[in-house]
Amino acid sequence: MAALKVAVVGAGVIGLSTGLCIVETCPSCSVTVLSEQFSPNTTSDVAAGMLIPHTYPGTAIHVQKQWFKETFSYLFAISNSAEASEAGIHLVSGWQIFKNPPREESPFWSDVVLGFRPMSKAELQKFPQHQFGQAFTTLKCDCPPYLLWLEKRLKAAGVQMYTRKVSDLWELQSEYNVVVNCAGIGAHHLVGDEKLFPVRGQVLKVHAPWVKNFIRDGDGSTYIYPGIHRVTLGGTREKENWSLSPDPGTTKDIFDRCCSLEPSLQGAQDVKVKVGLRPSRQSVRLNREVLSQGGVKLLVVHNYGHGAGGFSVHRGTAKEAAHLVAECIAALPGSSSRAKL
Amino acid sequence: MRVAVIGAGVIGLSTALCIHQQYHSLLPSLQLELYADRCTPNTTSDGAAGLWQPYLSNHGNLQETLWNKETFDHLVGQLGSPEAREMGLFLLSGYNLFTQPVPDPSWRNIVLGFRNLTPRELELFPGYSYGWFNTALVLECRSYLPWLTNELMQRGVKFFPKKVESFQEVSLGGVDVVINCTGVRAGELQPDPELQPGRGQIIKVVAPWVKHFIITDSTESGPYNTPYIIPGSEFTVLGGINQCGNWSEEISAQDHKGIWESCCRLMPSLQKAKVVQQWSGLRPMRPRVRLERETIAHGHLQAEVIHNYGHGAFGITIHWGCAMAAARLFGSILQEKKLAGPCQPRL
Repeated sequence: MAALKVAVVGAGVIGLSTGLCIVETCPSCSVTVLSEQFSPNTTSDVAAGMLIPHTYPGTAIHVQKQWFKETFSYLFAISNSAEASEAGIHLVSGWQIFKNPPREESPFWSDVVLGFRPMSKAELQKFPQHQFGQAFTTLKCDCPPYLLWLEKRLKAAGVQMYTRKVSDLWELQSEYNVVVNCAGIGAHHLVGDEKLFPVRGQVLKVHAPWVKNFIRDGDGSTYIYPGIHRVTLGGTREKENWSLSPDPGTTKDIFDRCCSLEPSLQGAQDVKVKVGLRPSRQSVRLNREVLSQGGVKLLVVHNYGHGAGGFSVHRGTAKEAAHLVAECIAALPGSSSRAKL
Repeated sequence: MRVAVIGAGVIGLSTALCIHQQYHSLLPSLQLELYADRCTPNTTSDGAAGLWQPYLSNHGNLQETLWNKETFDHLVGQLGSPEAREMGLFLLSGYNLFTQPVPDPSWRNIVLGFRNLTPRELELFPGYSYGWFNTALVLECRSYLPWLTNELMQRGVKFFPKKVESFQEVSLGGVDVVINCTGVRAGELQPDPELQPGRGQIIKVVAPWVKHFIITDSTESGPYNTPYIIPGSEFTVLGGINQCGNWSEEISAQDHKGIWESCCRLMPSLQKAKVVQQWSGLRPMRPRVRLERETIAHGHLQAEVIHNYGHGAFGITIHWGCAMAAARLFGSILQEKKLAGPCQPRL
């Protein structure tokens, strides 16, 4: 009996982690990853990879919290193992500061991160323009290391990966039983999702190894995230801007805003500018669909639209996508004879 | 007015700077000289990771607690300045771990954001059931000592790379005040049975993913005799040795093995860290810091000495408070000399 063939479209953090979850939950499947881009050229590679959730207005909070919890636990275990440096996962502590009182004193994720508490007056003295703040410890996934580590685990599980631009999911119908759409911002054209739009982010990745704590302005516009080798300085949130070209005026603006929060950044070296398009949506599209065309069916599982929160929920959504793949397989004709438990 | 500072570790250099800053405009004749047989990067201070943290208990020594606070506040004030990078100064958060509950330390309100660890945080550290989290500072001496040296040179302080064998040697040469910052070897200038070496050994590794300090429970074994991990701007320091009375500065393979294994147990990700250096040095341990004046008579000649040594494992932590206290003692010497008039015979 031929193995069930699953294609995952997209090789950012969502595509690779979903592929890995499918391998873990469907051992009888043969998984292939197809993507136009692989690390270091995915949107995920631009992101700092901080586990600080973004709130999706269209998704129930308890669902988002569950996704975040699963992701946090998964990465927490890796950070405390010998694999941590290869996987690019590490703990980082810092401050989220506000000029105006924050909307919520305790966001939904405050009991998932570690040691969440309001900042003391003494701590806030470091930020004279800000009146309120929250201190906590969370995790960071550095890219490319995390994506390369996922690729390594996929390869070890026998997953094939190909550079290929998929322009239409139907291209894959003849070769694959199930297609998993993790195309991120690519889904706008790939499946014509008008509800998916880019939120352009420009960041600077600088050499400033003395910066050990993160600082984030609660309005989300300015942040300093220390990674293993580089510190990510950000950023911008430009809705409907599709440009991937760095803007020099923006670079200066980001640098100035970050230096006002952390003056020692004036001494930062080797500034690299990057741009990514956050695949933004009211809610993450995480569902399964049966497409029909001329009597032929195509089983699709969607897992895209994570916007600014991809890293924070990636493992949770990947697991859910893998369950949806299992459901697709269970619904296939003759599936009970295929399924190996 | 010739002043000789003996010692070019963090204590000698900072005391010299503090005195010059405070008195050079009041006393145009002030001539500062610095004598040392060892300079950066070969001083005891250079081996320290540079984390600001006093001992877990101050044994009721409020004076030292105050000097620690003065140092912390002074350094925090420098954080936003363009000098901070050159000084090797930055904020660092981290963990102190214990096997049982302990009272809060004297410095809980000096550092930033001091709190107890939550149960989930303790899951990171099997074997430890209690702990603290706070944000403190690192002052890396491999940057700070050159910065201090540069500040002093710009102020015209003269450096003499030589070993001083006795106080008389400098005072007979015409020096009015001697500042004794000789650290662990102060006993060579004047016997001090209370001063003992606290031998330390460390391993420097490349582990840039480490963003927190971790210091483990030393209530039973004495400060820094249990594993600790302190990230710097370039390397991470692994340590946990404090052998009282051991004068050896040689690297011990057994100590190396002990540090490596215990730190990797504490933080498994360190198994992949590359070792770049090993170092051994002698902390100037003493029940309390010796910071006081002494008039040393030699025949009918007198020398004014200010002692500033015995800072144990908290030299960087306390250095600026002590430098200012030494400067105040210097001020009192000036007061006395003025009162005594310009014709007082001096050495």
